[in-house]
Amino acid sequence: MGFVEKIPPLGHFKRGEKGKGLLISTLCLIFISFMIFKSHLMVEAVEKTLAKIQGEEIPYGSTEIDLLISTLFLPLAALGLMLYSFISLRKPVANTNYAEGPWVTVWRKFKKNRLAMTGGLIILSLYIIAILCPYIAPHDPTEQFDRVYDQLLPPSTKHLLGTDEFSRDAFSRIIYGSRISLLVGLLAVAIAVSLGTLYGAISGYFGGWIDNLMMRFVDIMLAFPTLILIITVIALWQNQSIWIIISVIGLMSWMGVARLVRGQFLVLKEREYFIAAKALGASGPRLIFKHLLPNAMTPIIVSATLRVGTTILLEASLSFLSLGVQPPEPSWGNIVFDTKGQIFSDTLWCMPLAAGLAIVITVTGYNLLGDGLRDALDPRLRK
Amino acid sequence: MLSFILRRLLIAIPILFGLLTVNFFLIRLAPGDPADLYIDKDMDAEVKANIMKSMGLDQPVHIQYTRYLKNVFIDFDFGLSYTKKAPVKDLILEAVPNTIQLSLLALGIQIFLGIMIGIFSAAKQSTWIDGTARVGSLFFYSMPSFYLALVFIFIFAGGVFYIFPSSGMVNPVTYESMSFGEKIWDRIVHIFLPAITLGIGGAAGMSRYMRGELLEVIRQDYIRTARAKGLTETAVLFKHAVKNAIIPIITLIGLSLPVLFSGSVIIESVFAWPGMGRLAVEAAFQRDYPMFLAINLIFGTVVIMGSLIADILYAVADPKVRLS
Repeated sequence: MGFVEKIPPLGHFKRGEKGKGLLISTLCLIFISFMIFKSHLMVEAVEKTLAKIQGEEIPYGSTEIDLLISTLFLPLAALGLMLYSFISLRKPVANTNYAEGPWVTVWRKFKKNRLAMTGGLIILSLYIIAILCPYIAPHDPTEQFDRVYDQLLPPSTKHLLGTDEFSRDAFSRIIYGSRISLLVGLLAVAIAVSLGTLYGAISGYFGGWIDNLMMRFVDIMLAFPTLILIITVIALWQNQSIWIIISVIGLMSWMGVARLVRGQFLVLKEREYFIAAKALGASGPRLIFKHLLPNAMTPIIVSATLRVGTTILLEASLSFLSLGVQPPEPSWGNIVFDTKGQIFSDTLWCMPLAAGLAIVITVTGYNLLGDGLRDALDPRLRK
Repeated sequence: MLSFILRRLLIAIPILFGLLTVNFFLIRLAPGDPADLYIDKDMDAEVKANIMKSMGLDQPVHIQYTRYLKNVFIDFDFGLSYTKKAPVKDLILEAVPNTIQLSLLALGIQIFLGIMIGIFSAAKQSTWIDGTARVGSLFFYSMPSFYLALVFIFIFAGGVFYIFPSSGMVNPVTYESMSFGEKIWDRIVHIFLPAITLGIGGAAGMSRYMRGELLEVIRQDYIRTARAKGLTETAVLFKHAVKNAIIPIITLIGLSLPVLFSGSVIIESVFAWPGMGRLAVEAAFQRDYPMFLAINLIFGTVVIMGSLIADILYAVADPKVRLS
């Protein structure tokens, strides 16, 4: 093995793993250039944290913690990527002589799907943007510049998308808005999927009257007009913190998953392997978690991915109705709402359009990813 | 068939009942009192008690609850709106036709566009037409409706061109003085953007289904037979394939009714359309409880009706399905 084969991006190119090499080296370059060009931020984060640890009385709130997390992420991620690329070059080129495991097959199928890979890349970069907000955004998203001179400034090099009515930098707000959407999407779906899986698993496993009763409850829940009910709950509690919104959305959208899991369980319960496991005297939890759930995982993963997209849309709609995340905290929905009047202005029309485009790109990414996962995971479509 | 519909309607009653119950207690559980809107801190105790009494809030919760149910299910009386000081029933009856008008038009657009794009996409599978249609429908499918509305307003209602008005149902100034023909034209111009916006979102989802179903059907043996006996590709497609592929789509029509209704919540807010959605958002902001409960009941009814219509349409379209 020559020397070139051991150097990360070159080695990958030589082996024909162009995509992997490009991705790793680009990410690494981006991380390192952030560390170089924004080194003052890193120094600031470290200095502040050290001062705080030594017991100095300085303000240390969520902004500083944010900055610290991003600062820790940068070198760790760069280092991790480098390590990974060196290690992956040490392994021999994949041997095609022996049978591959199921996940390798899925990954191979997924890789071939260009649209799905695009979706995955979009999502990956969005999460990186969300983590590195303090490094990417040129200004603080809630900082109000001069109320008179900096209000509704047209796009310039200082303010890429101009400033809004409250003289805040629109570009920085859109960058920071990614956090809300991704967080809500991920957590609300996590709540909905775990709740739905548990509910569906119990209902499907026990069957009989328990199943009947539990499914009637799902019917009632499905009859609820979700959007109206969420609006009702949020308006009633008048507490529009992001955690309330996440839990309400999560608690209102588990029914689909529950039905899905129950249906899968009812089918799987008829299979020979399950009857055999039961005849061998396996306990209830063992049957559920070892024999039924792993085999029902495919549709759960696919529907969870697609659900993240719809959940992000729901959160954006709520924020757009001013029933979601409240300004000054930026979320894409409330940025569009705040700036929608600028659509008629000659210089600032791109402000609401850019914020909305961010939502569209994110949701498209998740939908592409979900579609691709379905194609890759569903053995019936596998050729 | 008739007994199936009747039974489904009977099942709907306990579901609606459960919905009202949950909502009623949700409101009582919420912090603050429904009467807060009327009561000042410095008010006389006597005045306070009078207000509570006139709103029926002096009774214990279970009596309020049974009284409310009796009013709703027997007298069809939803009480007075707190903020508009008018019977909720009248306000809703005023708003419902507007929402239905918008939703039905949007449904028409959705069905037409969705099915057409789906057919073209499947017929030209793996060509650039198919690719564009797929990416395009995914893009619109992933788009929040308020954003699409904003883009349309930007392009057609002032930003680039000024073709359509961006808000309201009619021109508020000149409508009264218009002739009959002008009035109709004014209404068409006003409903165009909201209906298109609402319809395109649904059409994107529908075309994805239609494409999938049609691709499934095209693989069947009888399509090969139809081609083999020398039919033109158009005849094969529309007379043999589409007819069979459309059956599952028909179910989607019933199911998309409630989606369109909820979608109108946002569209109506953007376009200032005086319908149910706007009432819902206003009620939410003003904590107008009787309005809330009534709107929830109506949207719940739409959801149940939608799935009932879906089942009926399915049975009508597919002779293999027997309702029992």
